[in-house]
Formats: sequence, C-alpha cells, structure tokens
Amino acid sequence: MNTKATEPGRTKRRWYILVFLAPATLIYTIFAIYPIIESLRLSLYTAGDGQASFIGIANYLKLLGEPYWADQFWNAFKNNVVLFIMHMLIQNPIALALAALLSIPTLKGTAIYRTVFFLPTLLSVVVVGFIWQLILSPLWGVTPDAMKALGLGQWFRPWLGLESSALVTVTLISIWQYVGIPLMLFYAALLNIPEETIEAARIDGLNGWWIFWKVKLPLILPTLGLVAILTYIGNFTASFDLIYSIQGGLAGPDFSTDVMGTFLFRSFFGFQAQLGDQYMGATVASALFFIILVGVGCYLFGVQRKLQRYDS
Amino acid sequence: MRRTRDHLTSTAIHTVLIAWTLLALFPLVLILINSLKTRKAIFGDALGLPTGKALSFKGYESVLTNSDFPLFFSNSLTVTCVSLFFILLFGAMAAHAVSEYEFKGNTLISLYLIVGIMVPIRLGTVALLNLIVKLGLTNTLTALILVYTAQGLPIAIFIFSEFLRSVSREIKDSARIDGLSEYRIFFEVVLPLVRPVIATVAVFSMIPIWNDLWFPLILSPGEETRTVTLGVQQFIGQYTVKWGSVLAALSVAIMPVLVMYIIFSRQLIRGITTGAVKG
Amino acid sequence: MATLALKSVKKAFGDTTVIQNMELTVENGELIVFVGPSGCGKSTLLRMIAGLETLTAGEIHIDGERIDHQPPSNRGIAMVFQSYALYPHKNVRGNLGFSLKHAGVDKTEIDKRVNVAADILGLQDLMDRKPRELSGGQRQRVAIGRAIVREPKVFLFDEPLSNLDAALRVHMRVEILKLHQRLKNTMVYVTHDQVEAMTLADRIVVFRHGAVEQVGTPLELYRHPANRFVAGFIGSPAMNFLKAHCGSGHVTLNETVFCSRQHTDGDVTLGIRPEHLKVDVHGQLHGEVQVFEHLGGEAFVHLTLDDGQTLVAKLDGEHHLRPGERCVLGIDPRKCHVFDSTGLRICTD
Repeated sequence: MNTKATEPGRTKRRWYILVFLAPATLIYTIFAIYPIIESLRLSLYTAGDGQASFIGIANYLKLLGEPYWADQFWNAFKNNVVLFIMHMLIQNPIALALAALLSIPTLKGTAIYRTVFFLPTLLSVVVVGFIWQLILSPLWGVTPDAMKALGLGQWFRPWLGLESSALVTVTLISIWQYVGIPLMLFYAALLNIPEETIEAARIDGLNGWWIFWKVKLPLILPTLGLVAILTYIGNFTASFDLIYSIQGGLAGPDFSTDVMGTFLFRSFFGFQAQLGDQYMGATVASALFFIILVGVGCYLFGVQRKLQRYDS
Repeated sequence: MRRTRDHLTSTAIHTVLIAWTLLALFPLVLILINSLKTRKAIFGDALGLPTGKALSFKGYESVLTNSDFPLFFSNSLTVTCVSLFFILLFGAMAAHAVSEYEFKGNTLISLYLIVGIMVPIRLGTVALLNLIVKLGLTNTLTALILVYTAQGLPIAIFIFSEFLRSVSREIKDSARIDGLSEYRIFFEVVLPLVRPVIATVAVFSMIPIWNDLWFPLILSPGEETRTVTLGVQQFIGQYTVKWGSVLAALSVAIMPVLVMYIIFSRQLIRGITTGAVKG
Repeated sequence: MATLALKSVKKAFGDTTVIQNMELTVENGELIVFVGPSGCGKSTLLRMIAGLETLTAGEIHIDGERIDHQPPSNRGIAMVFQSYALYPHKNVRGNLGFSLKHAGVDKTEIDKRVNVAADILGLQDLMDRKPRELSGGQRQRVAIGRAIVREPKVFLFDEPLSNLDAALRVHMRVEILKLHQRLKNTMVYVTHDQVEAMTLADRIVVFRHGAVEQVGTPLELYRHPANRFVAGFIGSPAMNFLKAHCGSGHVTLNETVFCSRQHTDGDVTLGIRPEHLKVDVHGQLHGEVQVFEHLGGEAFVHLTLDDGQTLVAKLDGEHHLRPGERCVLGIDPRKCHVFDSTGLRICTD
C-alpha cells in the first residue's frame, strides 16, 4: 500500500533520516539496552579487593547451588509460577467472560461497565495494596463483619499475615487490580470480529453460548496468546510493586510471598540483615532475563506455527 | 416465549456485570467515605456515610501538613508529562523515519527499536543504577524521565509506525511539491496525522509511569524527588496506626487519577480499543 | 504552457527495471494520457516527472530546460493526486493558498490567484470549509484548484478520479476536459481506465511492463492498434480474439474463409470488435447463444462458436435472443485485425 518514497536530490546526504532516528535510538540504547547487556556482563564478575574480577558462571552456580541463594531463588521462582498459574486460570478467564458479556451488541450500559472495570487498573499499586490490607485487616472489622453477616464468620483469618495464605491473597488482590488489561484486549479483539460472521453463525442455528465457543473464541486466539505472554512477562517483573507495598522487602511472612522481583531487589540493594551485592543482583536479573526469554521464545515459536497453519 | 427468555438472559448477564462492578468499586468507595470520618466512626460504623458527628477532616489535615504531598504530586506530574512528551515526540520521529524512507538497515533498526516491548527494562537495573550514579543523576527527576522515556519508546514506535504505514504518502508528496523540507513535512503534515493514535500511545505509556514504584524507589528516593506512588508508600509505612491519616493519604493519591479518568474515560477507552486492535 | 520531453529515461529499483528507455515529446498545450494496467510503470513515470522519484538514466526537459535534477517545487509542475492529499487542518482557502504562502508570494497575489481558481472550479461558497466537510467531488476540485494556483507549466494528474463513484467520475471527466479547453495548459494524465483515456486525451501512451506499446491519438489506437495488447486494452467491451489460420493469402477460421490478405502462413489471431459484428444469415460465424444481456438501447450476446471459441457481439436493442438459440454473425473484413503469433498486428488494408 504505502511504498517508501525516494526523495529528489538523492545524491545529497539524507541527514534528516539520522536526525529523526537519533534521539529515540540514543535514549533507548543507553537507558534500556545497554543496562541489560551490562547487567548480563556484571553477572560474570564479582567484587574482589576493590576491583571487579571475572569469574565466569561462578555466580550462577552460587545462585543455584549455595543453599543461602538457592533456597531463596527456588522459593521465589516457585511463588512466581504459582502467581502465573493463578493469573492465567483466574484473571484471564474472568477477563474473557466479562469481555464476552460486554461485547454482546444488544447490551445496554456497556460504556459505564467498561469505565468501571478499568478503574482499578489505573490506580497505583501502592494504593491498591494498602486498601486491601485495610479491608482484610482483622483490626478494622470490615471483612469479619461482612462474613459474619453471610454466616461465614468463623472462616475469617488474617490471610495476609499467614504464611499459608499470604501468597494466594496477594495474588487475588493483583488479579482484582489487573483484570482490566486483558479485559480491554479481549474486548477490542471481540469487537473486531465482523458482524456478518456472527450473523452467518446465527443463521446456521447456533445460539449465543455456542457462538462464543465455536466462532468467537477461535477467532481471538492470537489475542489469547498475546495476553498469555503479557501475563507471563508482567508476572515476573511487575509483581514486585504490589508485594513490596503490602509485605515489604522481605516479602513476609517469612518469604512466603517472595517473588523474583523482590528477590532481585534484595540481592543488589540489600535489606536489613542481607547485604547488597550488585554482582549477585546482576546474576539474579540475568536469570530472570533468561526465564523471560524462554517464555517469549515459546510464544514467538508458537505464533509462528499458528500463522503457518492458517496460511496452509 | 423468546422475549421472556431474552429477558432472563439479560437479567442474568447484568447481574454478573453488576456483581463485578460492586467488587471493583466497593473498596474505593469504602476508602473514600472513611477518609472523612473520625476514628471512632471508622471503626464503629465502617460502612456508614461520613455525616454529622462522624465527619472529620483530621486525616486530610495530617496528610497535607505532615508530608509533602503537593510536592510529590507535582513530581509525578512532571515526570509523567515530560516522559510522555519525549516518548511521543521521539517515538513519532523514529516511526516516521522507519516507515517513510527507504535506507539500508531500515528493517534492522525497526526490529531493534521494537524488541524492547518484550524486554522489561527493570532487568538492567543494576547497571542502570551504576550508570545513573556515574552521570551524577541520582535523586533527580531527570533520571526517572530518561528511564521512562527509554521504557516507553518501543511500544510508541511500534504503534506509530503501524499507523503511519497505512497512511497514504500522497499528502507528503504534495507537500514536497509545494517545496517543504522533510523536517517541516514531519512537523506540519505528519504529526497532525497521527493524532488518532496519540491517545493510544499515551494510555499505554502513562499508566506504568505514574504508578511505578520500582524506579523512584531505586533511583530517586530522596525527599525532594519523591513521586506520589513512593510518597504514599513511605507515608503509610510511617503512619500505619493513624487510620484516618492513612485513609486520607490513599484518597489523596486516588483523587487526581479518578478525576482525570472520569474526564478522559471515553478517549482513553477508545484509545485502548483502537490500539489493541492492531496488536 | 510548455513542452515536455523525456529522453532515454530509465528507472530501475535494484535489479528490476520498471521503466525501459522512454522517449517522448509532449507538445505545448497537449493533454497526453498515460494508460495501462496496474504496475505498468505509468505512475512511476509521472512521479519522475514530478520529481518524487529519481531517474536511473536519461533526462527530462520542460520548455527545453533540463529539470530532472531540480526539486519538485522548482520544476514548474503541479500535481493532482488520487486521494486529493488536502491538508486536513486547513480550510479550502488555506489549502489553495498554501504553496504560495510557503513560497513567500505577496498576499494580494495569493488572494488573486486563489479567487481565480475558486471561480474556475465553482468553489466560492466552500472557501471556509475544512476538507472533512466536503464531498469527494468537492475535494477533488480543491485538489485541482491547488494545482491551478501554482500557475505551473505542466499539470500532472495521478488517477484523480479513481476514488469517485461512477456517476461522479463521468461528471468530473467532462469538467477536466472543459478545464483543459479553458486553460490550454500542457497536461499529463495517468489512468488505468481506458474510457477516461479515450475521452480526455489528445494523445494516448499505452504502457505495459515499463515499456511503451503505442503512442497515438485515441482514434489511431482504436482503428490501428499496433499489437494485440493495445487492441485488447482500448475499447469496451474488449475486442474478441479468435484463433485462426493463415494460408496462401487466406485467413481461415475452421473451414470458413472470409478475408484474404497477403502474409506469411501460420497460426494467427483474428481480432474483431463486438461492435463490428452483425446478425447476418450469410455470416461466417455460427454458434449457440450462451448469455444475452439487454441494456435497452443495445444488447450484448455471448456466443459459443461451433469450434468451441467464445465471443461477444454488440447489437442494437431491437434484437432479442435466448440462451440455447442458434445464431449467425457476419463481419466486415475491413474492420478486422490480424495478429501474428507474437501479438504484432500484421495487416493494413
């Protein structure tokens, strides 16, 4: 459609191309790409007598082998996996269901619903964390009273403070907040399905429920993939903010809510008893980088396969 | 028969949607109404409205006097707005260069710039902090602006270039015939053209910047440069016992976002849905 | 008012040659039309004249002066685009005057030229409107007005009517013709629509794959196409092409001999325009009616001949035939064309 123009006076240097590209490329390279590469490099070093000395993959072995590090690493990793699975199994289906309902053409008031549903996502994570901390707090009584009213009084626990339930509770709070994003993506994708396709299905005799499963869902598979990979990336990186606000840098109680993000933060920043070590921090970051790379790789590979299947 | 069945389905659907609406709004409403109550009222009658004896502004007073919320707010505003400006401007420039002109390495550069979408910038924090320290930019808003700009550029470039590729080049050719330089063509012809997608890019960029806790905590935790998000987090940490103040702090943090959202919700949603369609 | 000369113009993108060695002279005040199928290079050539594409080789002269190294704004050209390319944030007056304002022309002069253009195109009532408040036809007129205001030596049109609906296209075609009669400028007009080409052009240049198939007046192209491509491109509905054989001076279709020419023997293609076929009991073409389209004043009959080949004939509205009926058509031997196996036309009578 739009083939690129070759401007007149081609023999002259087209400086303007450089000018247009320079600012973005410079800032991006210096503050986004370079740090990541440099962190990868740092993970191969350690502090020794004031000078950084190259030690190869020793840091990685330390991370995975030494109990002090390995325990934290695997604990954090396990928690992240739990986080990810819960988000995939709870947040995304809820978002899909809400989006499916919202996209029904004859529904009234969709604008209001849309606005409301996206509101929690806009709020600062700190705010959200604390609001829920208050609501769930045994001191206030909002939740215990509400549960008593529903006859479930004896089931109340200070979930955020209990090792056994803290992670799940935090995850549910995170889901509450972030439902808005996959909701919007699904909603947009569903809206993108041409009316005629739905009408043809209706003429073929399918009703709303079946239309969703057999027509709409297959058509938004790419969006499902996109949401999955975004959930994956977000879970491993953005989870820090919520957990740090609610449970602090030690991701209490007793590391039960520790995730890769908080672990990374502690590694190079230090926290209370634990000293910061920028090289181990870099190592943790690189490990996280590879974990994410694996996920993205699977996603891109999967997308490639799917595209090929549609073409053939 | 069909009519009643439709009615039932419709009611069922609305029930589900309203249920989630309540779930989404309830916590916020709770915070807001309780921020205006006396301590007794907060604990005695959590769900009641702040009227009569229950009304108290003590919480807000303490927030506004004991902390620097106006400063935090203006910091957040500055960082978000300036970052957004650079993201939009530099992103549009790069997207224009990549989509309009043919040159060696065009594909390579566009891939390079867009790969950042999948790579979280936080992973390079260790080296980033070292760099910021070396540049002498610790505890400056500048550091945050640079980092957020770098973070927001990939997706901005992606969205802008997808859009620009679908715009006919004839209007730019017409401007060339009229004798405009490539720079003027960018500023006077191309920029006005990308207006529909600016909202999309702004939405995708603004939210992660405003709400970010990580970089303000690590790069600029100082009093002078604290953002609202960090400020609220620290404040709450200090005042956990004073419920009124805490609730007021939370409300203060929510308020600007709420107000902006209510004003701009239509454009925001439209922006997301149009942008997301491409993705 | 100027002449346009293309000398050995060539254009290649990497290894692909898009324009091959083009020679053309456009006379003063001539309206020349570049026509051809999509991708034949006509738009590229127009853009090279405008200065929006560079030349790989050759020269372009306007009024004897070489211009292919000049930027577009210095060439004395103005261009009307397919998508009008109006500035959306300026109103009609702003759009019309923009290039002059940018060039620093005196305000009174700008106003004068803008008003003249508005008068010619009937835009006086629309001057304060923005492009989004205009219809397609109005936008196209503003685009043309913008070109007029520049007082160029040569007007360039790049498929300006393609985005309009059929009825509007017919109307605007007449408007452009009137414009040319009034302004008497040299104009280069690119289109893929042969009807536009036939009605507007003083001369037509038929393109295919970057090479010129034929240059001539509309009537020349209609009556004496140089090859099979031009013959099939000009005229609607398209010319019928039938496989035939030429031997000892006779061109035969199956067993039926109908015209004698003197040429080399071998397989040939016989070309007959639908409008040159008549229902004739003594005719040479026997076949069965497949489809009969009646348009009121005229009718098209699609025939399958006894040897399996198909053709279309244009008859007047008095005929009524039904599918399955047998039909015999006759041709005027003076009106048919014979093409050799390479597609080249091989006879003149």
